[in-house]
Amino acid sequence: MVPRKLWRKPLDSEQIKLPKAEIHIIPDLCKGCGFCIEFCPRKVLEKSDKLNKRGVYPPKVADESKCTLCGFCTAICPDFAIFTTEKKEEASKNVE
Amino acid sequence: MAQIDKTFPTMDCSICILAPKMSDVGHHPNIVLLTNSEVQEVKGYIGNFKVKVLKKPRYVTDECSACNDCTEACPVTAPNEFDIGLATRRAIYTPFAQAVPSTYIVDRDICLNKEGIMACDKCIQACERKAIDFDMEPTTLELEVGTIIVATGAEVYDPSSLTNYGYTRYPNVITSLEFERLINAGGPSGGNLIRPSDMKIPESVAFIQCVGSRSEKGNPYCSNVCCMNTIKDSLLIKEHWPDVKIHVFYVDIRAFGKGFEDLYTRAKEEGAIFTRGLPAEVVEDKKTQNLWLIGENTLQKELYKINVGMVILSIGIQPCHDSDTIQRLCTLSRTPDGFFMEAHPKLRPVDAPTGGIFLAGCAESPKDIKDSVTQASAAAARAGILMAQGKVTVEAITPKTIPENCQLCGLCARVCPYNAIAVDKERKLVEVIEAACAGCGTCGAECQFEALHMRHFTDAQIMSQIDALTEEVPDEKIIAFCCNWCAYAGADFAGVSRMQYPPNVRIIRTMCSGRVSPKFVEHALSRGAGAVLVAGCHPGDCHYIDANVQTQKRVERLWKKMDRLGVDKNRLQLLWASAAEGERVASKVKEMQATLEKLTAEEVEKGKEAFAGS
Repeated sequence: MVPRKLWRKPLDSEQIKLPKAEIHIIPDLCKGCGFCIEFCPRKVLEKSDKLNKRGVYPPKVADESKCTLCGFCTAICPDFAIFTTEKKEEASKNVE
Repeated sequence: MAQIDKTFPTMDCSICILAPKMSDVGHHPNIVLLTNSEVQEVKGYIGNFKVKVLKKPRYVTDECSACNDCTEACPVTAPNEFDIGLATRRAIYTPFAQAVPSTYIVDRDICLNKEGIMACDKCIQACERKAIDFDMEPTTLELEVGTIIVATGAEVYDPSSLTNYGYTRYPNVITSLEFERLINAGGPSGGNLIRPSDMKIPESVAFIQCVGSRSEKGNPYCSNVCCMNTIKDSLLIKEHWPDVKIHVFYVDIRAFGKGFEDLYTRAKEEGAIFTRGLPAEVVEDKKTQNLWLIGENTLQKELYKINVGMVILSIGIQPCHDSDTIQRLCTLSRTPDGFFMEAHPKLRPVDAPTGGIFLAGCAESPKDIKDSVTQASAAAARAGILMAQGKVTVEAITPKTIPENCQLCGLCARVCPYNAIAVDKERKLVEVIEAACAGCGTCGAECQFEALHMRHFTDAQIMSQIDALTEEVPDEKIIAFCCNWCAYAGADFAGVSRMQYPPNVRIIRTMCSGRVSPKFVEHALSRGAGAVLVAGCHPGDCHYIDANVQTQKRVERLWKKMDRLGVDKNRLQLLWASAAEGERVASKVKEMQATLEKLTAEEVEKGKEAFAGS
């Protein structure tokens, strides 16, 4: 394939609706291992600047729109302190 | 070809012709189709090539039924290269529906699963047949093949560097390849010719020809297909939307093939307006995003300023960006344009200079589909002849090694343009692979130990010729070594054209100027020859790939040596002349004659002494 820079916005970019994610963090369960921040493939999370009850810095959402709902953070969290759900209103507007 | 909507001049659907052929190749019992693979090494020679191929992993097994479930599940999107970024694809995808093999592929550059971390398993979950395997590894295949056909295709010109046309600055300036995707019913717009800015069908369009072709800014050559492609495109527009006004701005319309002129006439009858003279500039109207084309109609000698809804740049064809890798792997040569060079432009148009390798399609030069098919059929037939015979006939001008003299230095192998000499230091053996050898003699000239016997152009033969030619009044003679293909033919042409030049030049023919060993020149000077001329093909035009590079190196070395020994280096001249350049040969001889007349007896003596014993 031609190694040319593709500069145009794809014509169908409006129609493609990927499920939008909602990220839920339970700060007080977090022990601050940072796995979720480290391993998120889209770098959605970052360290927050507020201490939790356990005296560590839990993660906070940096850019929710980048999340692809892969669920890796949920799987990797040793303390069940993070999970993702699909945003409801987007799901109703399903486009084939 | 798959990206194109319709083909000229018959206007049949491109994918309808191509898809069954692709599928046939995919299923043929005698064809092994290796996609997503890279040739890493080509060794051996005609009939006995050993090719190393790196097969990159697809991460999808042959179990895939192309049901598209994985694509729907994949959360990562990217612009689809097949649609030139006009549509989106996912990280697991197939470039287009008819692609062969139909197995999907994972683009690991954008996939969430990086090395060692499996973050996302959506596609694996979606796949009913369990065909997705992220553990696939690249494999290296070693193939033994008799012949190779290089049909690596070409690329299109990127017009973003031609800033006056505003490509990438104005959304409604598109390339002809983008146009093909837009007008294709299976394309991103469903076959509607829409302006990217507002998704509406434009009222008028303009085609600009020769974008990146026949110009100093782009490529100097004609890309062969763009004129007819534009004519075809304008007919397609007229067929779907007869009210759309079409302007074509051209330099010359080259409708040279069978049925081409008819199509051109039809386009004119349908109402496409052809204007000679490319626009100097394309300017966007900020409000409507229409485009103003400003230029000169060179037929009517008047300026034009035309407003259109969309501009289509008819982009040219250029060699693949990795042509030099293929050139290196297969020891090919390239023309100054960058396309692969055939062994002979008229008599062996599909053979590469290296035996057993053939060329087809746009890798050799820009050409349309019909010409590509013609050339590919010829290449297949040429390869078939060799394969059916199972043996090759070589001319009896290949070298023979003399093992007693050989010091195993390996110089001969290094200068061989065909890699036809194998030095085995362990077995103390230098082997000439006669099937691969073309007989240029560069190895013989490089050998310092007289360990290569160049059949029919032996050292003894050439030395005797020099002796005979310098028997009488050597100081009045010019000894010329001419290569068989260009210089000798050029001198011959000077003769048959009755060009007048000094008669005291004596020509010794060698197959290639690369055969001319420094000792021949030195011997001629030691015999008192007035001057010596070494003549060969133009650099890049050598009939033995690049053997004349060695000629140049040797002559330059000789000039240095002559300088050091105090011999006038003007007495040795190097000339590049093609078979059509008789005039060049004649004028060089005249020029050398002038130096010869100034030559003193002491100078001749000096040369004799300096090279005595050579």
